[in-house]
Amino acid sequence: MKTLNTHYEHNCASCNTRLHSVFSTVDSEQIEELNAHKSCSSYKKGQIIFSENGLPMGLFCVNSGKIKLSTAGPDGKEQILRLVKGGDILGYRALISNDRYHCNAIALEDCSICIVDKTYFLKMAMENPKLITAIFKKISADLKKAEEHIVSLSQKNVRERMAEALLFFKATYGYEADQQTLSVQLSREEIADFVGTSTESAIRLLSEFNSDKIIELVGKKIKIINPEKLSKTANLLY
Amino acid sequence: MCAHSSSGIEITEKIGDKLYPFIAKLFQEVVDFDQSQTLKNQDSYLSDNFYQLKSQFESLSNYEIKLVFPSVLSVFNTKDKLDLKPSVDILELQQLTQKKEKLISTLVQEIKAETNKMGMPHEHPLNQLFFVFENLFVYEKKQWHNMLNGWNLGCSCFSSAQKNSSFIENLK
Repeated sequence: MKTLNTHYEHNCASCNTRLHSVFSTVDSEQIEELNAHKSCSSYKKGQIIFSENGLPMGLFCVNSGKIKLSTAGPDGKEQILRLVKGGDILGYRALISNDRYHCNAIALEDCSICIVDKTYFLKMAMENPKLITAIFKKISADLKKAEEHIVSLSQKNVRERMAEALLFFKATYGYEADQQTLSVQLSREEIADFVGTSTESAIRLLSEFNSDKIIELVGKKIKIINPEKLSKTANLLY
Repeated sequence: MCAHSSSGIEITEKIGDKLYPFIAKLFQEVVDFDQSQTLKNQDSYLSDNFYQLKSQFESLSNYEIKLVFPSVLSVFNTKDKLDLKPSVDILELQQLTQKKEKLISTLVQEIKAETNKMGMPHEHPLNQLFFVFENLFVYEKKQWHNMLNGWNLGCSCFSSAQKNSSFIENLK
């Protein structure tokens, strides 16, 4: 991975991106101070901006470009936590909680980023109610997104389990003569029991699979019309 | 009567009636022990992994006890009775369960590494759970898969069942 970056000059007073960031409410006097306590760098696509377990030295303000925040899952696979773009701040969680970074920040495209000195930023935030309010709003919005993500992940997990159950049914009972219809008729309660979910969720998931053209529901019978998509949905490539 | 059916019954009973209930009991002990301790107070990463492991284990035992074991045993003694021939695809069932077993082993290693880092007390029942997964579970499942592989090669009931399922696959 590339780690070299190039420094450049950038004035906060004339920065348009700042107007869309948490620093939009800061007055001109403080902007001058802010300008004196930051440095700016350009990062090439693929460069690491900070790494997991690193200690924060300051707050990153993205001027341009896209950045991904990611970490490795239990299976070693990369899990993208969030995408960040111009006007966003980066690394504030570790900075505010005096913790290490819990993820990696990697440039998805060429980026220009300023870093505001840690001590100065914390002092400035404490002295400026408008700034601290903007930061609270930013943290709350990110928390809301993270909570929505958890909900979507847990639903995805049930979807995977439903696909897995259908694969088990197919391997156990095989198909009828049409080579698509499962040769077993299980009640929705029985299917829900295998999936480990409520009957209502099982019914909803089967209906979703039907809409996605993975299966076709014919009365109580289930036709597997796209076995490849079903295997992909089961995500069994552990 | 197929000579292999008795060893089939023996091993499925050993796993389904003894090993799995024992592991389920250990999971419950961890949950009870932990009401106010390690998992609940720790980062959600450890807690999430533990409950994912529990859920994966319950799912595997559910599939094996309700579908896989009865299906495998149903293959015996049907080689000459085409009308009774089950349409089970043993190889596919074996692949599906092996993938779940692999995930379980990965999760056990993840949780173990995490609890080692935080210096979990020796008496914590998670240690026993790790031991059972790393030893008994791995050993019994290896025996089971070796037996299935052996039957695939040397038992006419099995080769006949696989031919049957390959025949169906070829029709697609």
